Formats: sequence, structure tokens, C-alpha cells
Amino acid sequence: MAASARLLFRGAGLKAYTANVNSGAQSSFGTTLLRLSPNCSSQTKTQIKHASHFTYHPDPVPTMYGPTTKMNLFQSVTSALDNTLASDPTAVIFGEDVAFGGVFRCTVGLRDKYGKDRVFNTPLCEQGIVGFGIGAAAAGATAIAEIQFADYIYPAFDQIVNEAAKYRYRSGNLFDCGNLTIRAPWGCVGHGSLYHSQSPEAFFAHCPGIKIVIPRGPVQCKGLLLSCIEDHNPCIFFEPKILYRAAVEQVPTEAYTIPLSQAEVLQEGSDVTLVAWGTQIHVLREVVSMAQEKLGVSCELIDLQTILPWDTETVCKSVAKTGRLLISHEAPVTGGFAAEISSTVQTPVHTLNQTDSNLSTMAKTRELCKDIRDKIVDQHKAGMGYRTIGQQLGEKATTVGAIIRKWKKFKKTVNLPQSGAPCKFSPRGASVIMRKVRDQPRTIHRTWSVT
Amino acid sequence: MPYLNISHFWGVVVSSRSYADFTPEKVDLHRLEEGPPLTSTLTREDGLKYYRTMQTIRRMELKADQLYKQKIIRGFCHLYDGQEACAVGIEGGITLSDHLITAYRAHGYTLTRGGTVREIMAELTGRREGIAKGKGGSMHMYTKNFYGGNGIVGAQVPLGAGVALACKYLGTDQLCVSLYGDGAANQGQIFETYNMASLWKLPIIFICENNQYGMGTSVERASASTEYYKRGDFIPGLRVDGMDVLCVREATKFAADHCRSGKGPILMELQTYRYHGHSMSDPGVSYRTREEIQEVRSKSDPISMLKDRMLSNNMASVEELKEIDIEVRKEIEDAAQFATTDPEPPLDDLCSHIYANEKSFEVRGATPWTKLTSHS
Repeated sequence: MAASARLLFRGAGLKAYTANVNSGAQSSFGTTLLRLSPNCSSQTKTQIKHASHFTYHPDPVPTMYGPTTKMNLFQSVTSALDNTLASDPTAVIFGEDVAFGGVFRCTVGLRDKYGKDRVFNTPLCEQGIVGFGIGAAAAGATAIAEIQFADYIYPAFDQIVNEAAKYRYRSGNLFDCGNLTIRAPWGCVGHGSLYHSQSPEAFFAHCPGIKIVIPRGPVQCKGLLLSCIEDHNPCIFFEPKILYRAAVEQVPTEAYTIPLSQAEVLQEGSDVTLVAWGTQIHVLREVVSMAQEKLGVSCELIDLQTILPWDTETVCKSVAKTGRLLISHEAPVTGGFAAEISSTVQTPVHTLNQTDSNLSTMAKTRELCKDIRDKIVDQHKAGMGYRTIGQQLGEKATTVGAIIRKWKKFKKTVNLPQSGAPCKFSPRGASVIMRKVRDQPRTIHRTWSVT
Repeated sequence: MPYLNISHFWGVVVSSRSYADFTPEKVDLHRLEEGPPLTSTLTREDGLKYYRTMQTIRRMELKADQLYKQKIIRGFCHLYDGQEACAVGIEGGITLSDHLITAYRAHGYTLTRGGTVREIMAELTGRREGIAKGKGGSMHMYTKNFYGGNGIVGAQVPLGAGVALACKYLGTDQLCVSLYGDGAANQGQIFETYNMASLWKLPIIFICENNQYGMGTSVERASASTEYYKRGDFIPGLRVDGMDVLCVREATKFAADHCRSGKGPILMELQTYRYHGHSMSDPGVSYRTREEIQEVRSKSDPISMLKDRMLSNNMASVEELKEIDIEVRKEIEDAAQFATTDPEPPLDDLCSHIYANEKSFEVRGATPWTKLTSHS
């Protein structure tokens, strides 16, 4: 699986950053220069087949939605559809091969339970399926259309973009097809190749009027799918096909909803924000623990969940806190959704600092990690002097002083990103450092003889 | 045996079959005054050629099945056994300078259009010497005048119309055969193509290979009209038995003459059957009974039919055909051996041929700092 990651480093004077996940312990992430691991050479001498993998990380058992039972992803889809067909008499499910249960078993048993006029097959015609769905939704039925693979959704692109998305707007709210939900298996599966692996969310993100949702596991899947069905806008729900069987969780049997357009912070951190959706969440969970263990880096992991409209506030707030953003997705890089997120996040500082305007005048103290800064403050509160603290923690007394002064004035120890070119290193200094690191990859900042 | 000295032995064969499961007994016509001849002449040479080709396709598909189960072939694999008469019969009615395009069940056509078993098997296993350099796999095989091998069903038919337009425009006497299945027959773009082809009188033969099942859905459950040869409406059509190689050949010859005489497109429906499931991940028995498959195998297997015909008309001996069988088996074995031992394409090839450009450019690899070069 090729994951495209966009790394954004704010306040970085150095342009050439290459990340090495295999390095030894580093003290602080901020000033550490990451080095090129020998494995990552662009000239591969031998062809090594890197088997990509991910480990599924299940969510904790939800307690607020009632009794739960063990389900995998396709079973959670069936459960959601079951709840919908039971509670909504206008609900119908249609698509290629849904009657016998679907090629991924998502609709097993529904036709027997609810009848063949509510769960039925369509012929092989995606454009027809979605067009038909729009009409059925506009006429009042809760239409749940299945496109057999997201790779096949393109014949229906015109219907989705030109008809479904604009229906409400062009009729001045007289008509709408909000009752339409389109479901499609999505994403890499390992052997899918060109036409069973695609992630087309970016194509649809360019279209106001529809919603796009991608879950990371069964609990989210059921809740988000039910939200999509309830939502009064046409929604496209992409289900990561590699997780259909692999993702097993305790899922509530009753109906419940998870709000759309709300990103979820899965893990709090202070050094870098990681954003992903679907399968990549589980890859990034591994990254988070590797980074903590091997680099001492504290990552904040966010599951975007809704791609359109996406939760800009949560992501921007997080980046304001950490100063760095990494986005991972499976689609091609150019024009992928990471490009949209990264360009939105890189707006001028004043919009990020909306909550605390006085902090924009705060000086930026030396980039020590949060733990050390907090420790300094704690020790000062305990009564230690600057010099003593400095000696204990191995920092200069002036740095300690600056941090404590900042804390006294603003009651915070954070470092917010600031505009303007930072001038920590001169270009000559930067090339000296790069040369040194290239020669001696195990260099850490303490060994500098240069200031 | 004395008859071996005779180089040509003429046999007159009645091309229609006499069993009722695959109706009709004769050719069905739509908007046509007369159809292809109901008798066909098969020469010994042709007979042996067809037998050999069909047997090669059959054995190749069975070998592919075996290799897939051994996980030497990965990804998707859609097998053609049972439908050999279609590929071989069509090729018998056109020449190699004509053009052909089909969907993903393409191994048989790759062979009849000039591919070798070696190349095909190496492509299935994704090796360097594969017919698409190991980058296409089962669904994307190409040879000269054979445009694949296409993953998205229905999408290949407008392409075929474009090829036909090129033939007409360039003034060659060539035509294009565009194949699709009974499932794809319900795609909107096919009807768009019917209209364009008819409007501009393109030399295209639309062929619907009706194997009764679109993946797991039987034709009655998918189509309002299962008379696919009439679906062209204003386009003349004919329906023939696709299990009989001579039927298919005569029908294709008739259709080719129709096109070449400038009368425009024509639609053919071949009623055929596949023994395997839709693909290797489909056992093929959840939507049809084993008895049905057995019945077709025993009553209308294309290779057996041809063999019986040839034997009963003394056009070949049992030993001769057995010898062909042995040769074919050996060829397949060698090809399979080659396909498993040939090296995989080099990493440099991974990103090649994305664009056509004069100089190479760099493509981001699986991580931001690995770069691959795209050559063209």
C-alpha cells in the first residue's frame, strides 16, 4: 500500500528533511536533524519486496449505546442496514448482487427478512443505479445504493456531481435527494491492482452538496453509516474493504449515530499532528507507538472520518498546538485530499491563534520538549533556582529563565508557531550541520562544537 | 492408416446442432433477410487447427487454475474454458489484420490473436517475458490488433467503435470485433455505441458472449430482454450457438462480409457457457447446479463436438488427436515452467510508461524519500 504522507514543519529553516524512523534515541524532536537511513536510498541496489502490513487496532467497547456483540466490518454494515430497514418503512437497498448478500457479505439475510421489494438487485449499470437512487430519494424513499467497488463509481460521477449534489440548490430547496446514501468498498486490499483498490474521495471532495464519510472500524462504521442515512444530504460512504473481515470489535446492536463532520482525536500528543482516515489510521497508530518508543516523539492522532465537509477546527487547533502536521492516505499525492488539508492549515497565524490573541506576542523559547518545560516549571515552583534547574536538566540557565518568565507571564509553556522566517541557523551554518550529519549520522545536537 | 496420405479430406458438416437445451436449433435473425449458410465446409487442416487451438486454450486455462491455487498466479484470474469455440470460431471468420477488443475474460483471445502460451502464462505470473511485460496481468493482455483485456465492463465497446472508425477512415478493408458479455450488455455506453456505429456506418461487429451468467446473476434476473441480438434495435443481429466452432465461424464470416460491404455495424449473440466460476474466487456453484455444468460438459463441450465430428467423418484418427493432446500438454507444461522461473520485471519498470515523454522524471515511491524513475 502506498501511503502518501505530507510532512509540514513550521518554523523550519532547513529545507532538506528526510525522516528516519530507525534511529536511536534522540532527546528533542525539534532541533534534531533526521538522517537518511541506508534503507531509504533512492538507488536500490537489490530489489527487496517490502510486504506492507498493518495491524488492526480495535476501539474500546462503547458503553453508551446499549448491549454490544462481536462484529466485523461487514457485519456492522449489515446491522446498520437491518436497523434502518426495521425502523424506516421507506428504506430500500439496491445494487449489483445485493440480494444474495453482496460480494462482501454486507447485505446477508436482509432480503429474506424484509422482502424482495426492499432489497433487490440492479443490472450492471452504475450510472443507472445512482440515477435511479436519486429519483427514488427525491420521491421520498430512503435509498441506499451500493456500488460494487469504488473503482466502478465513475460512470455515476455525472449523476452524483451534476444531479445529486445540486438538486437542493437548483430547486431553491423545493426538492432534494437527501435520502440517498451511496455505499462502496474502498481502498487498497493488497491484490486489487488497478480496478479494485482505488480511493476516489478526492474526486468527490471537489463537489459541494454531497458528504463523504470513511470509517476506521466497525463501531465507527455502523454509527457513521446510520448518520449518513439519517442525514438530509446525499452521502457517499466508503468502506475500507481490507477491514471487512480483519476489523473485529464489540459493536452495539441497537441503532446509534456518530456525528458527521467531527474529527476524532484518538490520541493526544504535543509534538506532531497525524491525520488519516480509514485503513491508514491503524498504520498511523503503529507509527505513533514507534515514534514514542524510538524517538521520544509525542504524536497526536486524528481520524478525520468525514472528508467532506471536514472538521477544519479540530485539525487546525491541533496543528496550532504541535506545530507539525503529517497526513497519510492511499490515493495519489497530486490533488489528493492531503493537499486540501495542508493548504487549509497553512493559513496566516492570526486565524490559528483566534482563541488567545495575546499569545501571538509571546516570544518563542528554545525548542525543548514539553516534558522538560513542564519539569522546569515544576522545579521552580518547588523553589529551585535557575542555575540549579539548569544543571539538573542539562540546560542553560538563560533558557530555564526564559521558560519560567514565559510561564509567569502567560501561564503557559507552549510554543506556538510564528510567522516570519526563523533565523536560528544561517545558510552556512545549515550546510555545516548537514555535512556533519551526513558524515556522522549518529550526531546529536550536544556534540556540536559549533554554536 | 491409409487416409493419412490424403492431405485434404472434404467433409460436409451440418452446422446446426440438434439438442434443445441451447435453443435455437437454427440461427436467429433480427432485421436480416437471410443469415449465414446452414451448412459449412470444414477441411481437415482447419479442423486440426481448431482442435489444437481449442485444446491449447482449454489446457492453458486449467493450468492457470492450478497455478492460481498454488498462489503462483495472484490477483484476479477469469478463465475461459467452455467458451473456446467463440474465440477460435471468430478468428476463423476474420483475419489477423482485423481488430478485436474484449473484456477481462481474455486469455483465449490473446492466444488466437497471435500471443504464445509462454507469453500468456508469463504475464499471468507477472514476469518479465509476459506479453505486457508483466505489468498487466490476467486482465490486461495485448497483441497486435488486439486491444485487450479491459477491466471495466462495457468500457471496451466504445473503444472498439473508435478502432472501427479508424479502419473506415484509413480506407483499409479491416473491421473491428467488439466483444462484451451478457452482464455488460446492460451498460449505457453500449447503447451509445450502437447509435454512433449505426449513424456513421462503422465496420464493427458487436458480439455478445452470452454465457448465461453475469458473475453470479443469471440473464433472466438481470435483463428485461434476454434476446441480446435484438438489443441493437436498428442494428441487424443474429444469434448462434457459441459452443459449435463452425456455427461461430460461419456467423462471423457472414458478419464480416456485411461490414466489409459497407452496410455498417452488425450484432452477434453467441450462446455459450463457462465451466469455471466468474473468477478464481468464485466456485461457480452457488448460483447454478453442478448438474447443469455437467450436462453442458457432456452434451455440448466444444472440443468434444469437434472431435466427434472429425472422427465420425474420418477426418482424423483417434491417435492423431491424442498426439495433438500430448503435444499441447507438453507445450503448456513448458510454458508453465518458464512462467514460474522467469524473473520478475525490474523495479525500474514499476513507474515506467505513465506518460510518454522524451526524458524520464521522478515519481514518488511508497515513502516521501524513495524515488522511482519513470522511463518512457
